[in-house]
Amino acid sequence: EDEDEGNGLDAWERAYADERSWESLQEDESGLLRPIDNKTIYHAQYRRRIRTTARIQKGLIRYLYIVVDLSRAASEMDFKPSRMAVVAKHIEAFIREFFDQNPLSQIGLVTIKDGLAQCLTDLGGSPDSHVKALMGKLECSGDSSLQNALDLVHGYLNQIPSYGHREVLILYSALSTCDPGDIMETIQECKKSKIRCSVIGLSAEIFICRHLCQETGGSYSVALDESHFKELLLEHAPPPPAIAEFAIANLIKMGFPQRAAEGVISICSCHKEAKVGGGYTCPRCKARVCELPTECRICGLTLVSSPHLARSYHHLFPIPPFDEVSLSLNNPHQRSSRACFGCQESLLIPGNKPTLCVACPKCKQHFCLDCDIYIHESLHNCPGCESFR
Amino acid sequence: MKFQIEDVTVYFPYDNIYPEQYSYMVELKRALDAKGHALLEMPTGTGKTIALLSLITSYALSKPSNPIKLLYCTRTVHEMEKTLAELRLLHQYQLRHLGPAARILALGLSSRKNLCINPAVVSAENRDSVDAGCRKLTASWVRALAVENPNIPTCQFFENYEKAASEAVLPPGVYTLQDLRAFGRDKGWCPYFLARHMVQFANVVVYSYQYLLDPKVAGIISKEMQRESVVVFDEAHNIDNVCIEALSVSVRRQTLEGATRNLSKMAQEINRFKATDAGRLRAEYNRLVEGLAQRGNLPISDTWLANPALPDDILKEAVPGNIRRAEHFLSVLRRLVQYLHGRLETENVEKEGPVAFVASINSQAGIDQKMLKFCYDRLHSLMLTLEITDTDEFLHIQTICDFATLVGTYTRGFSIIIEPFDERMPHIPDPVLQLSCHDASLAIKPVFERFQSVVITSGTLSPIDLYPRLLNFNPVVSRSFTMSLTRNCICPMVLTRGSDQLPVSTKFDMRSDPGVVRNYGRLLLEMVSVVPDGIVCFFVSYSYMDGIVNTWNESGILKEIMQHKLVFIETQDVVETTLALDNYRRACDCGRGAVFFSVARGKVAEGIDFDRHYGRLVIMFGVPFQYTLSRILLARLEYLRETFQIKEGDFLTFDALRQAAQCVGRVIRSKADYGMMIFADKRYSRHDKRSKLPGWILSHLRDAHLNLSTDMALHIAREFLRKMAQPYDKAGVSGRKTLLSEEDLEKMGDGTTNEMLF
Repeated sequence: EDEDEGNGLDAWERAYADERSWESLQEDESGLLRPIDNKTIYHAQYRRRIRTTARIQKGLIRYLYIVVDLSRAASEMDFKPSRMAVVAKHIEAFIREFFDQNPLSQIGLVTIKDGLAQCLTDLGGSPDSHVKALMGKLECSGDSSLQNALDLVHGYLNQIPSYGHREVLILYSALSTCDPGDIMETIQECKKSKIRCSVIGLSAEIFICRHLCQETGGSYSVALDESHFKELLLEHAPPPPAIAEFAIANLIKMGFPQRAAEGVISICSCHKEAKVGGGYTCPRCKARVCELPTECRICGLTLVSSPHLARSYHHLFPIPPFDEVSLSLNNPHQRSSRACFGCQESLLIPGNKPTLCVACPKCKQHFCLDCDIYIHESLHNCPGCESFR
Repeated sequence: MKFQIEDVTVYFPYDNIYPEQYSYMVELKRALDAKGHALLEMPTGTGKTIALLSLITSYALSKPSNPIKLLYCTRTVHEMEKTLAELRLLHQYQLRHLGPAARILALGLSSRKNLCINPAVVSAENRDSVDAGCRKLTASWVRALAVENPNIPTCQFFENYEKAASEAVLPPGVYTLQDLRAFGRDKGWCPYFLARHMVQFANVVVYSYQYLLDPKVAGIISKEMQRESVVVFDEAHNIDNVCIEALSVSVRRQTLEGATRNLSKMAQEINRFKATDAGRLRAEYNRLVEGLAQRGNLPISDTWLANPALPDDILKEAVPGNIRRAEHFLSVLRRLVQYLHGRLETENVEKEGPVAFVASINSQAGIDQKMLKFCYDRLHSLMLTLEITDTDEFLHIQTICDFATLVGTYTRGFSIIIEPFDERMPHIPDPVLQLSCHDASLAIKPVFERFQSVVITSGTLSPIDLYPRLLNFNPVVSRSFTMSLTRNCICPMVLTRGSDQLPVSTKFDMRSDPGVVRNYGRLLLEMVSVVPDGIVCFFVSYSYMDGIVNTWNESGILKEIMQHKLVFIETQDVVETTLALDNYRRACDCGRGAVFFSVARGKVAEGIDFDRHYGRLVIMFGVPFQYTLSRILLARLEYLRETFQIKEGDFLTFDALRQAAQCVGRVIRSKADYGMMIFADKRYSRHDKRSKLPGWILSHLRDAHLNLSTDMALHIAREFLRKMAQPYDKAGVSGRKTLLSEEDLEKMGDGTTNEMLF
């Protein structure tokens, strides 16, 4: 009776009419539709990311507790099949990625269920044992308590030697926390112990989480959907910048164990049983351990292998961000550099128009945007600079 | 930053300015140039106050030959302090750029309760007792006695202030109430009287509405303000109600009993004076014969209230002969009280116009209109003569005289309504006689006439064309501004159906329907499980809230809600509500999450902010119409229809929607904030209701959100909250600039600004 039907469109049609999505379509000269080019937008996002992390001291030896919220809210179905399943799936990927990037670091798992925090696995360097432990415990119920989880983790992390970086990553499904005491005090405790707390929320921004992250120097983010969640989680894999007053240089005693000969039977110090072949021998006390990196159960020496150290090395010397340049066609000196130095693809898009490309500030070679991302995120070496050596 | 608007250089204390602030200033400047009145609507959180202050002070600075004065009216003391703090920031900036030429004097003025520094006086619990306590120490006769007898206590701060006489001035600067108190303590001067004195010389005065609108107070405080002043009413969406209240009086049984007590006490006093100091009474009589209701110039400490009628309506003639004698006047008052007693005894509701009422007083109590008219002045004079200082004891008889004077003065725009009991509780006899004013334009008319520019501004003034009609004035500028946002941080929704597709509404015939109650409950229950931290719910009335919360409790919904969030409820008790609010905030802070149940038109809906995590969602259950069976409202509606041709329905809808807008506007107080608003009633989807919401809400109300059911709203809420939790760029993307720098402003001429903003 009293609707003002403006122009005969239904409400849902009008919503699209308002957004005018057709205006973002582009045509080329011949009038054909060109696919919408999101590349530059992605690239801008990525550049923002590397700019913030350039050239800061990094904490390479990390002790990270992952807190998984398995309260009632984790059974919600807005992520398919459920929040809990999605979280578990991506934690697995994360743990593997984490050890790949931080071979010297250790992870522990904590769950929150029925208002209680429970330690699932102790700090350790083996991805498989963590994943197995988590998958066995996937059921959820009750309220969630941030304070209990923080208290528990705080108790464990407080004993970590000072060169290690203490971190907590909380994957939080619930929208509230039911605490036994004053959570503000717990947050201050964590701050005092220099525990960096980060939270990834699955539904909405919660004040107390933001407060916690701000106080302890962590990052807070909320996932939009599953792929975004994965992205946010993996952002925690590269080492974070070291906390300033914590970043005193000190020497750490490390052992580089040799691999024991095949077929030797010895008692393994980690599993407390006799095993055949395979393991490593601690150089100080000659005990046998199964995996690296770890801490010797007998003498407490940190045991690593040299490839582990080497793999952490690139975090300390990141490649400087490349400068954005635009090719000008008329410049004869640039004739040679019309192709990307990385993949040899032409930097001119069909129609001989230059696209956006980047140049290394040291060797002045040009690269396409895809190679830029590949070099900074996977390769960690500039092919241009390396070829001049 | 510094920029040019036409011929005025505007000094703005921040590096960037919002585009809407800029256009607000442009409009304001036009109004000042035209020396006319303005009506400006701009959402809260866009920096209205600083835009106003910086334009008006800069305007005054640019015209040094004829500087204008700024009278800034706020609703609460808290807002007053906030305004003055902003002004101080601005003033410091102007001083840095202009040097001593920019010096101004700005101060806040409030009641003695907020300004007194005498510990013996200020410790009294309410405003009236502080006033009386002050008078006991500073009245001229008390001080005269104290000169002879040093045992009589006086206020040392006031004495020092009097001693300093003309030297007691405030040096230029910006003074908040706190600064005034500190200054007073430092110098040993009474800050209240100092501030009242300095108001005449100040460039900027920040005080409350009453100082301009309530004739009782305005007559004393704002009498000597120059015509070249700009009056600003901030948060003025309820200004019509303030105007009406200033001219309305209600009389209850307690008032009459108190008045009788007051009268007998005064009779005793008169007898005492007759015995001891008969000359004094005779002197008063002679003065009255000469036509002076008051002694020419009262000392500043003896004035307390002026006539309740508006200055133009007060007769400048002698008090009628039959009330010149004190005892005669008392017997007139006694008869009047007796008469009112009789009227209160009635069994039925009665409604009368002032003319009929006065005629009936005349025939039954023998008091004619002229005597009524002079009641207040005569009482005032008598109390001065009797040297009564404990004025708080005599409030009742003052109320009666207020009533008499108003009823004797006005014949139109008022009515007298006698109700033997409250409509909602017919078993409890609680007779009340109300003189209610229907015409908001009466009280504000002198303000419009006296001052060259009056600016009425608020976050919700929609529909903006109704205010000029209600207040009966012609604005030269009347504009509504929208907010420029970097992201869509408000999400209004109209929810018309529950999950079961049955319509929801608080319409009278539907509100008690169990289906509606259940659907409202389910709505809240679903929302508490997806919205973090704080949720605020507004109900249409206390009784409705009581009823629905009871039903929810019985059906177990409340218990389920409590699993997600704690529940707090506003009550009519101020202390209890404050406590509830306090705990609500704590629950939001510590992550437990909380729901606050509140009532539209209540204290919480008007003055309390639920910004940031204290209010991520506000649900307005129903349309907050006024209680339409109220006699006062009916009488007012009738008057509005006859006088201003405003239809009843239009006014009721306007009033309900401005309340609703006011309620939902609580959640968003700045641009960095975000929040959702759910209008849960099917009537909101109708065009005539919806179109009366303010523009800044309407512009975010998408067509697709006009007719939602609970499950759809839930989905939208989830998406919205996720989107808002993402980091964003505060300065705005290049296409939609939301922060302008000095260069941006220089670049655009006047024409391009408008193009860019609208």
